[in-house]
Formats: sequence, structure tokens, C-alpha cells
Amino acid sequence: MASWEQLNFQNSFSPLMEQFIFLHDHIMSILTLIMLIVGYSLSKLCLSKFNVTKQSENHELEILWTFLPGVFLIIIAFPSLRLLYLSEESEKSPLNIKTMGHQWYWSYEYSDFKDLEFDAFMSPVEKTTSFRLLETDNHTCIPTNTPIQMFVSSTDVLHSWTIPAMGVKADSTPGRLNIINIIAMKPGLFYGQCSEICGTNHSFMPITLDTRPIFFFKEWVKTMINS
Amino acid sequence: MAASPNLDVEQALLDFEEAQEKKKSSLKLFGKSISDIPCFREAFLYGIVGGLGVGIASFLFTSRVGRSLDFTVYSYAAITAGTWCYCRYEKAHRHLELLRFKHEMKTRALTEGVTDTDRLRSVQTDSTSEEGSVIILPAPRTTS
Repeated sequence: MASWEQLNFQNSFSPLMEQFIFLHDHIMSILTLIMLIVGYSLSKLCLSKFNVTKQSENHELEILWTFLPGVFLIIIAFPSLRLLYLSEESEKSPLNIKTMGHQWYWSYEYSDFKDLEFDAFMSPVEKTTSFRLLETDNHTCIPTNTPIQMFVSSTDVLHSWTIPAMGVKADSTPGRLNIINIIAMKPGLFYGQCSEICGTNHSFMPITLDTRPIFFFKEWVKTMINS
Repeated sequence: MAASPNLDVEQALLDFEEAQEKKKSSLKLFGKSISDIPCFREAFLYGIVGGLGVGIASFLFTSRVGRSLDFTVYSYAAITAGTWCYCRYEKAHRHLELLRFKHEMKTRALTEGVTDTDRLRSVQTDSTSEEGSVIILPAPRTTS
């Protein structure tokens, strides 16, 4: 989860988020080099005594500073586009979950199992002993290392379902189904918050994702159905 | 006499702790340890050494400080960018090959001994789960 002094992404727990972080590092390093080149050229010009005649006209330099940004853009574009299409890839998943946004809570339906649906309200601040404004009364549980397909929609206004550590976010729009594909690499608890303004309690409808090995996921399903 | 297997585990734990200590003491950029960024160290080391080399060589040949400094900075940027892009491309290529290899290994382990491979290829197989795969198989044939 995020901490108060954090500037970077959260640690990645899905292959997609891993690739997002790699792309971010790649683009940031290219940008740093561009800043270095531009900063150095700027400082050289500022400190110049204007006694170099070639500074008023230099065809080779003009060709270079037209050609070079194009090269940098291509270097950035190729991995970016690759990741863009990779994030849209979906394979047939053994588990499908329907997520509906309400004012101001989320409800989940596991249609692959009989009678498994529940609502997830934020735990009251006074009663929770865990993370403030992030805990919910029911956790959304998924198995690790299994492709999950999540259908996100809404019953009233726009909401947005997101788990930053998984690198997923989708608007839940009334009358529309958006699809998210998640593969959790490790077990753990992951938090997210509604990311589209939806009213008074927009800040108080968090998401808690509990990823477990498949054996424990089956136990959870049994417990939830029985209860 | 065979070596005790516990020694390897202890060595692995020591190596892990050493790696964690190194990570703690490594330089951090905006809260992120640079040792976590693949190819960073290699690219910037090559860039610094290459840039300095080109700068010193140009100074030795031209004895012009300003021009040599220009060569140093621009060659540093070019060498760093080139090494970075090449290293990242190779890493992504290797990562993809490793994923394909792992997937193939798991599929072969699961389908070992299976003779009806054509039928099995038409069946959706999920071999990414570590705790036993989630395989969707067709209903068994009943022989009358």
C-alpha cells in the first residue's frame, strides 16, 4: 500500500505492473538524458561571450536537433505501444467476478459459484484496528497465479475500481461493462480507493483485494457460501 | 560423503541478507533504490567512462577545454542512451524467452505421457498456477 512519503509506484504484484514500472524507468532515464543535454547546451549559451559566428547559422546543428527528438520519440514509443497492447490482451480466465459500484460501496458477484455475492463497505474509523480509510468489512478474494477477469459497472453514478499494486484501473460506468484482467503473482492484501468523484462519500469507499493460493481460496469460497 | 544440503540453504540465506544490506545502503532516487532498476548501473558506468575517455582524448588532440567538455557531455549522453536501450531490449527479449520456456516446461510436465495431443491442443489449458493447474478437460469418453 502507499505510504505518506512515497513518490514512486507501489511495489508490483502483477506482471502488468512490473512492465509499467520498467516502462516508467525507461522513459525517466531518457528524459534525464534529454534534460542533461538541454541543460548543458543552455548553460553553454548563457555563458557564451557571443564571439562564435557559427552560432547564428549552422545547418548541421539544425538537422541534428530536428532528427534527434524524432529518434528519442521512437525509442520511447516502441515499448510504450507494446505495453499498451499487452495491457489490453485477455485470455480465457477460469474465474470471472462482477464488480458493481454503488453510492458509496462496492458489491461483488462471483457468478462461477452459487450464491456468492457480497457488499464491501468501508470499516468505520473508530472500529478498525488496521489501515484507516482502507479496510472493508468484506475482502474481495482471488487466487494467485490465475488469470481473473473482472467486469466493472455501476448502478448509479460514475465510479472507478483500482488496485495500484496490480496496475489496474477501470471506470465503472452505469450501463456499461468494462473488463479488467488481473494475475496476482503473490499472496497478500492490496488496497485501492474509488478513483472517480461520485458524491459526498467518494473518499470512503475503498477496495480490499485478498490474494491467496488456490487451496485457501477454495476454503474462502466454502466459508462465504456457507455463511 | 555428500555435502549437507543445509549448508546451501544457509549460504543462500547469507547471500540474501547481504543483498538486502546492499540494497539499504544503495543510492536512492525519489525513494527508489537504483539497484532495483535493471541496466541502470551498467549504462551509466559505460557512459561516464566513455564520456571521460572521449573528452580526455579530444583534449589531448586539440588542447581546447571548451570543445573537449562538449565532447565529454554529448558522448556521455549518447553512450548512456545507446547502452541503456540495447541492455533494456536484450533484457526484455530474455524475459520473454524465459516466460515462454517456463510455460513450455509446465505444459510438457502436465501433458507427459498423453498420446492424444491433437485433442489436447484444442482444449484450453491454464498452466500458470503453481499449486496444480486449473485444467479444463472434456468429459471422458464412455466405451460401450
